[in-house]
Amino acid sequence: MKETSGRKILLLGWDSADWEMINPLLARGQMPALARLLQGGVRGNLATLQPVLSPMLWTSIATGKRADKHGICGFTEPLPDGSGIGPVRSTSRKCKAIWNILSQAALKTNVVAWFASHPAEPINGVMVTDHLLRLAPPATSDLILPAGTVHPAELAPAAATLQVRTESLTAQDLLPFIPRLAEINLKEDDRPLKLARRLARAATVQAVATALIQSEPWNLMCVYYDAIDQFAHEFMPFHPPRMKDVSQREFDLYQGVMNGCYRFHDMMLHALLQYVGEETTVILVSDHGYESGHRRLPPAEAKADPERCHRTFGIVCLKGPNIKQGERLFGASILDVTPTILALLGLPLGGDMDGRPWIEAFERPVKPERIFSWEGIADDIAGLHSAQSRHDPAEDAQAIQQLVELGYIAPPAEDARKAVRDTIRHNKTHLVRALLGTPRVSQAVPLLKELAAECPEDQWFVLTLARCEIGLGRLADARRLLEGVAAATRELPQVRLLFAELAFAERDDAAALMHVEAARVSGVSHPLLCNQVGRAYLQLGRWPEAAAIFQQSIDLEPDNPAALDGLARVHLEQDQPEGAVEKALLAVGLIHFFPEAHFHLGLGLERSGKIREAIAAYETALGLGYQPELIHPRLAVLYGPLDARKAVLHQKAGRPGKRRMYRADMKTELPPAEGAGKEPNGPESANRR
Amino acid sequence: MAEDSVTIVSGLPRSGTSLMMQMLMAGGMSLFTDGLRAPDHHNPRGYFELEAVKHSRIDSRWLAQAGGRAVKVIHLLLPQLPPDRQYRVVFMLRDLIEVIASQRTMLKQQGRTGAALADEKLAGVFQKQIAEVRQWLNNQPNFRVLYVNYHDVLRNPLASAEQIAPFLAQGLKPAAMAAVVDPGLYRQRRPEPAHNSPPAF
Repeated sequence: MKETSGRKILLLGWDSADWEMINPLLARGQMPALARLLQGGVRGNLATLQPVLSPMLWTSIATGKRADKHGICGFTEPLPDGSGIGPVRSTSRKCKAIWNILSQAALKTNVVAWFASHPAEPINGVMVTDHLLRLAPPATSDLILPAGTVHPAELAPAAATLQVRTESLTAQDLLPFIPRLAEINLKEDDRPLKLARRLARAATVQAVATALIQSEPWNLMCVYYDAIDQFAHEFMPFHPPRMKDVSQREFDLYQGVMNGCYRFHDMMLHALLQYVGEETTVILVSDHGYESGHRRLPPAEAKADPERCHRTFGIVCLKGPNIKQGERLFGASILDVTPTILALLGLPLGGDMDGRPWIEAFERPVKPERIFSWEGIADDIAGLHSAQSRHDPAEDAQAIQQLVELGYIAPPAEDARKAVRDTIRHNKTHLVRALLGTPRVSQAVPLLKELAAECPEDQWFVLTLARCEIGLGRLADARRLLEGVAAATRELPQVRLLFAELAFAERDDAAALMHVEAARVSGVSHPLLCNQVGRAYLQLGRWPEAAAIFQQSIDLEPDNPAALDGLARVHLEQDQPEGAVEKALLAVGLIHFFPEAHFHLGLGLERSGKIREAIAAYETALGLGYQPELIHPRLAVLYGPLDARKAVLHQKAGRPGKRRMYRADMKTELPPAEGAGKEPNGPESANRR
Repeated sequence: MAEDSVTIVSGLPRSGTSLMMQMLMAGGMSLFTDGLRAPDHHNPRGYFELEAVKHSRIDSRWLAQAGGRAVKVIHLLLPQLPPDRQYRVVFMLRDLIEVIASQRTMLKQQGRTGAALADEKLAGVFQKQIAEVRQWLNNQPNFRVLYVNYHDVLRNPLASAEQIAPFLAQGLKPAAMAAVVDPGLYRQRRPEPAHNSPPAF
């Protein structure tokens, strides 16, 4: 095995892996490799981002940035010559990935099958792109991979020999997944063949990873497996308990596939871990979870809208020489993976990254340095594609359109033009969804106006635009948009709730109440709508009604940070600060990027007399961008008896016109207090350091 | 004489490709066009295009009749030409802002909108397209390429013609080629910079 000096990190990606599937297997001792990893390390939920689409999410994992910054906005993109569409390409990424940053830091990375990695970037290390999995392995020994599949190119022949052909699998290979395979007529039911294809892909990834981990030196090794997600979209409907739309025979045949898939991944994990030493930190993540229980969609609905099968929380666990053992990680997000890797390697964080390092999981405290950005620094040694080969596919398509209109090139066939148009529209919609709920929501407005003009029949664009306009205080525009939608649409509960939101903004509580009640009468059975109703009741001061609907929301979806925060607010309003602390802690334990919940946690702690903890919570809220004009004066008061200098700083910062950026992980330590170390009950120690 | 090779005039639309076709014709070269696109205000002497070129990806039979003649092929279509013959390419280069201004004017008068992109962004895309095509051309053993700057042709037509004629080896007459250049048709001028501007590419 070739060695590199210094710290090493093995980052494994299991698309769609979910604790709800893993925990029962762990309890039965059926994932021993993962169990060992967990025993010696830290585990937690990993919050995903909207929209829950894998190319966007895995690029966020590899960059620490949301889609508006990294530029990967869907599964496909227009081809550069406008003749159709193809899989999204690495040349469309607008920022550096972790392997680029490591390249310029003279560290080596091996990357295997990462989403949106083709064509391979000329990094310091080896990159075998996801394109390898799209190629049908030839039956002969004549193996030539297309250019860009592997960097460096001289390793391409070796990579080609590692492709596992579906045809090379035997019935023996499928029996662990489908023990009654012999009963299936493959001419009538091709699902075993689909399983075999997915298995061959996973085996190819594993073969390449196993070869590279031994033969090529690395400081970071990133391996991405798509099999759990691919298996789930085909076989999760057959996982126990039997869904009513699934026949008994199908259930009997395929009920073991998903568990088999997870156990297969555990075996692959075990195999890879044979090649890493104690100096290596292993990080296992998934981009989102996958509904496996009673919230599963009926199979037909799941096929029609695969994104709705995804759960908000994936998995994270990490183990290594500087990682705590047996602890839980709270409030982690997929945006945190790259900042955490940088912190583990002693490299500075980019100030333009949207995530945070999980320093609370580190055994020895570290205080990562921060630079403004990694972009534009040492680009020539970062292993980036050349500037000329990096593209914005939507701009390419516009330029092609211009040449077509000028009459110099033939227009593509209508189906290709439609595919290009649809792809651009979908990717633009995904970008809008990525921007919603972020401080950059105003950037969604021009996109929504374009989309609404292009597709006037799709009311989602108009309604979302209205919501943005309300948030931005442009109430007349919002009202004009809402009143312009069809009468039947205006009666939908979600639209009624938008009207209520607008009425609140217009300070017309009576109208808001009318709309909320109308929405409830129309039927509110989705957790998101319940939460909207709950927030409306909070604004109306109707605490019991708010508590009831938030509880209803939690009954529908237990991992529900918005409802938990809503209950925290109810507790605050009813002068029950301990209850508020409990609920707010649960909320931020699920999603760290939830500034409002950190603020409510601060209020609860302050009113419970836990001043130091309250300061930490307020500073976190401030660091995440929550209402500085509200928080600075509170911090000024709380710091008064503890740290006069900071009290003055917050007093000044709280004056109108003053803005100062705070980051949760940049907070300075408070001086030790009497009784220091006593923390309120719950997981807050993991969240507030 | 290189009659077995196909002479191509290439570049971005509105980069001077029609002017180059006129020069070749005046110098004695046979052009391969179908005359389908009539002269207009933008190209009063004609476009010299061949519709079949646009469909080269699926049908390149027109090349059988192209030996020893000049045909216009825009930059993006060059990689669609089959690799089984020799090509000599006169590739026109022009300031991209001028190219885009000329394209916009033409589209506007046709009642079309063109790309919904700012000129700078569109210029960036065109620049990448040209760079990629140039890189591709560098790697093609059956292509010989002469890059010709549109402004150089206008400023000194004879010097340009004296470069182009031997490159094509078709016995062209440089003086006749130069005589057809009419600087009056140079309408999309960029404002003169106060200092030397960088080259277009």
